Amino acid sequence: MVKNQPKYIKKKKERCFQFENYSGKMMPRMGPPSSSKQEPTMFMSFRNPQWPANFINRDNVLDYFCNQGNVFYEMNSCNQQIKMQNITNRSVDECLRNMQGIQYVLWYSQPPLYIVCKQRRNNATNVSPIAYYYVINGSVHQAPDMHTLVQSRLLGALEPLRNAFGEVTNYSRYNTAKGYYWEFKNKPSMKKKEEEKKEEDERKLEERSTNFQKTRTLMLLNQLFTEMPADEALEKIDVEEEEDPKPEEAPSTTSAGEPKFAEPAARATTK
Amino acid sequence: MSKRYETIRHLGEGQFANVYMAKDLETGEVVAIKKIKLGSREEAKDGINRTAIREIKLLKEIHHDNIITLRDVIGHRTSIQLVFDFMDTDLEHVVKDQSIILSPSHIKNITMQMLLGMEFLHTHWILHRDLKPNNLLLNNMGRVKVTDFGLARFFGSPNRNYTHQVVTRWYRAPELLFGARSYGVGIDIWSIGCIIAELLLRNPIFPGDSDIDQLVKIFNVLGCPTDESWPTMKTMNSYVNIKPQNETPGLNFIFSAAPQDLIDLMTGMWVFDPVKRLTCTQSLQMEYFRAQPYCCLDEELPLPNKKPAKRTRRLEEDGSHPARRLIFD
Repeated sequence: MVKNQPKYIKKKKERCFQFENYSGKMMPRMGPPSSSKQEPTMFMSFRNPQWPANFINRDNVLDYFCNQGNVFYEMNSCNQQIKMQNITNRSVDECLRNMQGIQYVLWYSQPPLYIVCKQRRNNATNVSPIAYYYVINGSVHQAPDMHTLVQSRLLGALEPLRNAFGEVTNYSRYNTAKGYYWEFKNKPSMKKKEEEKKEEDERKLEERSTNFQKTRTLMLLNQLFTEMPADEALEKIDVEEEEDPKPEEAPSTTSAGEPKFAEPAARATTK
Repeated sequence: MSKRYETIRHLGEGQFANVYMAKDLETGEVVAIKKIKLGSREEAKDGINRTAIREIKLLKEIHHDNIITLRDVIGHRTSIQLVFDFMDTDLEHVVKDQSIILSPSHIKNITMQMLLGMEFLHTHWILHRDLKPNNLLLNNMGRVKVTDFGLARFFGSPNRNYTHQVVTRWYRAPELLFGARSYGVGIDIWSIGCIIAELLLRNPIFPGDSDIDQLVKIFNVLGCPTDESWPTMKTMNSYVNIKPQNETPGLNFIFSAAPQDLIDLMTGMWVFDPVKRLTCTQSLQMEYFRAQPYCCLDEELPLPNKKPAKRTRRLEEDGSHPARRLIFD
């Protein structure tokens, strides 16, 4: 299972590049400017080959995450301050509570999945989450926010449609006598092309995940579903709206997306 | 002790003096009294200790927020007592207290106060010559003050030679280790760089066991000086050639969480050639002090084994009533 992993990352990166390219070509980027800035991190991953993935556990996953090579890790974060100052006789959690600034904490753990939250601590009782990262089997990815997720799915659905329309308009002809009609000139070559495309598409589909990932994540997802049923998630968001001091904590446990996207949804349901 | 001061307790003993905490009965303030040891009759015959003379001579003339104030000198029979501001702790205790985490803005504040004090000294042609965390005092209002002027002296006379056996070894500049007899503000700047490093790492950065080991420790971190970077190096009295190490980890690696502007400041303070080293004034103009995060407030500086709440209560006792003012405003 460890063998599979690097291959997967490589593929994922390739796929992401494709996505990035055509999304840039297709339509201007929408949404707040800040989200487009963060965009590149969504396609990155980090993996420390010196740590065997099965060595990672609840206690050392933060150590694994807080690595100079990790693209998601800010070197001037509180975690690194503590490391640099050689504070050894106190737990990291306890130190972080009394500090202010960017901090990384373990949010959820369900080996082999760990979720690390990057947060800004304003004081001892108030934190605002900035991003979530999942560490699965030793590789670290950023959890996408709702905006990116929806956009990516929409683009994924629209792109083939657009291609189809473009293809079809090449073959439609108009004649005052006949009206609209189809004209297919070079049928055999087109078919070949189409077949090739189909094959390509099929291959892509296959590549989307390895067998291990399918089975393993399915198991994890099911577990998450049973642990956090849909109606419970809504309740949690309602609670969050009432409580002002810790607005971001509730939705983050239910969805990895940014809380600002969860709020309108909750309002819609309450209405 | 004189009638004006009432001893509260004994604070500590140094090489040349005993220090007591006392109350000034005239103003009600708490002060520290340093009672110079006179030693045996043989020693006393030549007059009093040189360090005490130096301290009195210099401190009588200088007044600055970041330098300890000599409030009074009491000559009582055979003893000399120096009355200073009372300071709660020193930076050595802060650095060693693991319950304190120094945030970047704390470090910036301490560095700035330190440099302001030293700038004042240097513009008045005084070299401290013994800067170390132990000699930087901190009071409960978060004020850092330079103390211990036992080794301090005026500098700048071109024909006068000074001893190179000054400054605690870990904070000693390379030109002193090479036996320089004429030196300037560079030696204090080097020490300040070491103190900043110690605030960042909470450990001394160059803990040498001997003078040679000290040089090796410095070169392991900063690399070896070359003829270009320090042209006069080989003319030093006790110059030794130390074989350069291949690789230095680099300051960015050692101070992993420090921002680049702070690394730049320390690099400037640790330039081998004392002529090219930063001065206090230049250091204070560095980008580091203009960039965020800015200095924290003085009263936010952490004290060993003390919670900030305690200090606010003390504030109220002093009559400033911060809490009440909040309510009525």
